[in-house]
Amino acid sequence: MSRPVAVVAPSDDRELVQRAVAGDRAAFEAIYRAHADRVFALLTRLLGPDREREDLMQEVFIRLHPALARFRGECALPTFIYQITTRVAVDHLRRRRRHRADTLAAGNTIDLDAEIDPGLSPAEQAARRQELVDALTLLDALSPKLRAAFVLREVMGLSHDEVARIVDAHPAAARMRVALARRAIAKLCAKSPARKDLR
Amino acid sequence: MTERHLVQTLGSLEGRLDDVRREQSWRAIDRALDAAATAPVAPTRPARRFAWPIAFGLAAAAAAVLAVLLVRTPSSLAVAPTELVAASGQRTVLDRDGITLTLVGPGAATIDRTDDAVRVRVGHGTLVADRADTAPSLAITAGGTTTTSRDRKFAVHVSAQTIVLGADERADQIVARYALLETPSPNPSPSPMLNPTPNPNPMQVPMPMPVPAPNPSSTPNPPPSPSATPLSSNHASAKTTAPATPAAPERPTASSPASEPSTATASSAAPDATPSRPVPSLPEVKLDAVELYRRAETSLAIHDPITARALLEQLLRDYPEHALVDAARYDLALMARTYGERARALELLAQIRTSGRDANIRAAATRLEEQLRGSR
Repeated sequence: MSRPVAVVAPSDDRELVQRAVAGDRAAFEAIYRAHADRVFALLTRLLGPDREREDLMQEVFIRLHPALARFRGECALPTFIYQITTRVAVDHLRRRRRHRADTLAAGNTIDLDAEIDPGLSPAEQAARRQELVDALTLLDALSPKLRAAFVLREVMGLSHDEVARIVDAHPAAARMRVALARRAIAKLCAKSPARKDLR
Repeated sequence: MTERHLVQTLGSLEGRLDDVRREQSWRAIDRALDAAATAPVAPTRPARRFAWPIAFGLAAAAAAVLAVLLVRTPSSLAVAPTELVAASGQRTVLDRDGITLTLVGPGAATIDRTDDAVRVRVGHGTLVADRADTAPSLAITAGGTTTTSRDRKFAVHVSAQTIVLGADERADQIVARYALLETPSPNPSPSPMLNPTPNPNPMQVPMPMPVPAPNPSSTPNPPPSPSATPLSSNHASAKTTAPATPAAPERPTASSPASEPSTATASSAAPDATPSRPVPSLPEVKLDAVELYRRAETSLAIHDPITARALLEQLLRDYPEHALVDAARYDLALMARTYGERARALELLAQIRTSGRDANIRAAATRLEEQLRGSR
């Protein structure tokens, strides 16, 4: 599996931001087109193939527009955008937890078919579906904060400092969240015999 | 599934956004930003001013309510309970709201004041209360039982063996039996019944003898208000046993000539007492060895080693062949060692070693004896 590398801000990001803050909608559109795929991918990994990902992506950019005035260039623009994306995703996860009716099994929220290649054989599709269900069930057992830290660090491959900046926590706290998430996942894997079979 | 498998699965989630959806999303964002830009700015509300007059009014009302509550609070909250303590042979006097409380030591009591009564909790010792007519009621708690009285005179004696309480004549009797045997105090007692009588040996504290409740069958004329509350049906007897110390005065009894002076003193000094009515004689019961040892243990538990020692000595005298003799000797030896009476301790331990029947106690006595000899 190819791990995504840490994001690097383009050199003209600050200029685009300054123009967007000044009211240049074209500049903001350029920011959107440059980062929309990343935001959508991060939302997918944080939430799974959630049906509301597009709405959440729009919310991210709607929140980003006024927030750009606060962007001083201390971090890369993608990190700044990831920060907002993670916040939106965590809020959505909390909402989703409150409405337990939309469970993974019910399929009201998660669209697994969107992530299954239609070219696979039925058996492979079933295996892939089961794999996704297992993975998302494990993730659902984590709290939103631990889940975000784990995905950013272990799946997105960001450094602890970047994770800390994105989740707005001290690097030690971010490291602790990742460690706690890994411990919880290990415990859950050990507890479930069905999951042991998948090892 | 393992963590590695989980990471791989999540990493395989591509989340591709096709061009159509991307364009749709941008149009939605653009519209939303336009709507936000053209939306009328909500008028800012003026900053709320803190309502100082209302705050002052509330504070004043709270202070008034607090003042009223403090005024109406029972005096027990204003006056903390008073601890009354009297050492052996001493008397402590306290006047509380028209009630003169005299505690004859060794003893301890707690005096508290509530709305309706002066509450006295007697832990140990003899307490005499002289109550004025206008004074509030007196609630005396002894041995877990509370008795409320409005009598002019009330006395209670609490020891490891007995709890005796009574009013008027009965109070005089209690005073004559217990308080007058104590060492006189240089402080004058407010109660005429507590005027000290000469004690032949002021250093000796006589073992308090329990006073059982008057037996109606043996006393044709019971006292006016007997309310003695013995702890058990058995009562110590001074008549059948020798006193703990040779110089200890005999207990006064109504029939014995030696008791006449104290009884007469009590009768003549108390204005309410009726001299014509004889104080009933009290039956005396000999305690068995087990009861003596049990009471000695109780005395030790409430830190009254004098009584405990007297009871154990009595056990040795009265029941020299009893199985508890070894234990009594060992306890006495421990007490003697504590009080620096090394010779007495060694004597008792030697007796255990030579004639003791309990092997465990013999072994303990031997060890203690070796310690005592080694510490010389």
